[in-house]
Amino acid sequence: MKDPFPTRPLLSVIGRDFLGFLVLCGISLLAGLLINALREKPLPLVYQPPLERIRKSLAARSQPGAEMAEPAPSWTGGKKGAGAEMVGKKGTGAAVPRPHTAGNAQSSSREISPQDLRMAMGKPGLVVLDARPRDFYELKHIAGARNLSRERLEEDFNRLYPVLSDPSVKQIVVYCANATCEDSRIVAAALSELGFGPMFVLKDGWAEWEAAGLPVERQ
Amino acid sequence: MKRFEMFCGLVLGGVFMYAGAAKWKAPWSFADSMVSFKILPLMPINPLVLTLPPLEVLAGLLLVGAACGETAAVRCLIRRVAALSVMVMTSAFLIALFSALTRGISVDCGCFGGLPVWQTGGKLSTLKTWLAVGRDMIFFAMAIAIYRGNKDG
Repeated sequence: MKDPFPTRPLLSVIGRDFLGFLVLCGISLLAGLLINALREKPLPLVYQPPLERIRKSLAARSQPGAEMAEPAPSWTGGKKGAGAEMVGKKGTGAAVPRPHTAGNAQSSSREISPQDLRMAMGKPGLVVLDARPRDFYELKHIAGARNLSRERLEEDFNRLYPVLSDPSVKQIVVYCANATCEDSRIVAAALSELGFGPMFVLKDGWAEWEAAGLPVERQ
Repeated sequence: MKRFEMFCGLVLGGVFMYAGAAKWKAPWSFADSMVSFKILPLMPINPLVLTLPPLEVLAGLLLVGAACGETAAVRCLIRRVAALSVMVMTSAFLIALFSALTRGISVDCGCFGGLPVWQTGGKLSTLKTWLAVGRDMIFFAMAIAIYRGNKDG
């Protein structure tokens, strides 16, 4: 068989192949841009962090109106700290959260024990969020909990926005797998930063809740 | 072409087509995964996110479809360019993974459109990152085998 590269030195061959690679990159960029332009929700050319994306979607929804402060839940002794200010829509009574401006968001969520949460579950205005991946949520979760996973934060947040922004919501409790997982704190911090709350993290998470034989349900 | 190189071409082609399609499907998640490595500034993230998945699919298609080339020279050229593309991509992935490991950042590589990690939480095990390193090293070695094996059609 005839050698296709009979006299070419190695560097020349690599250079030519590299040129081919650059051509592939160019074609790929064009294809990527084209497909992106056809997407329902195109990716902007400059990256936006998830919180910023959610903030933008919140800003699109929000309208100027009266402010109202959320009361702290009973199990904290009425102490404020992580509470969010809510901006109400005039006339409708619907609340749109306003982002916090101060402090480390991660530190603004407090812990709640499974027993305290169990006692609070009958009270109005409580939202329980499962920050675990959707597969685990669908398998089993705390009765009445909704899935707002860290990995699908933006998508889940948009889905749950009507629930979270309901003016009747007084407390939001987030949980993840166990005492060592961080998803609940991250989701709580994100929501707190976006102005939702007061945020609470379930102590020892799902593992402790399930071990205590407290109410669970399947999707 | 030796059977081993043909096998490598089919495996790599399939893997890269799948990985590219998975990333292409979820660009927002892929962008979040890329940011979690904390290597690149934010500016080139999205252009890379738009370019990388089609490049993977294209390289995979070329590796699998190179046999359709009219002449041996064309087939060789296609395979070499595709293998070089895979080598460049896997090198970049390896550098990113090693960099994350040495800095103690726990990340999901997002190689197959996996978990969109938007904040590094330390939950994902280092073992998983090492497994990704091992897998990429195997892919890199396979790409080298294809590249070297296509000198003479």
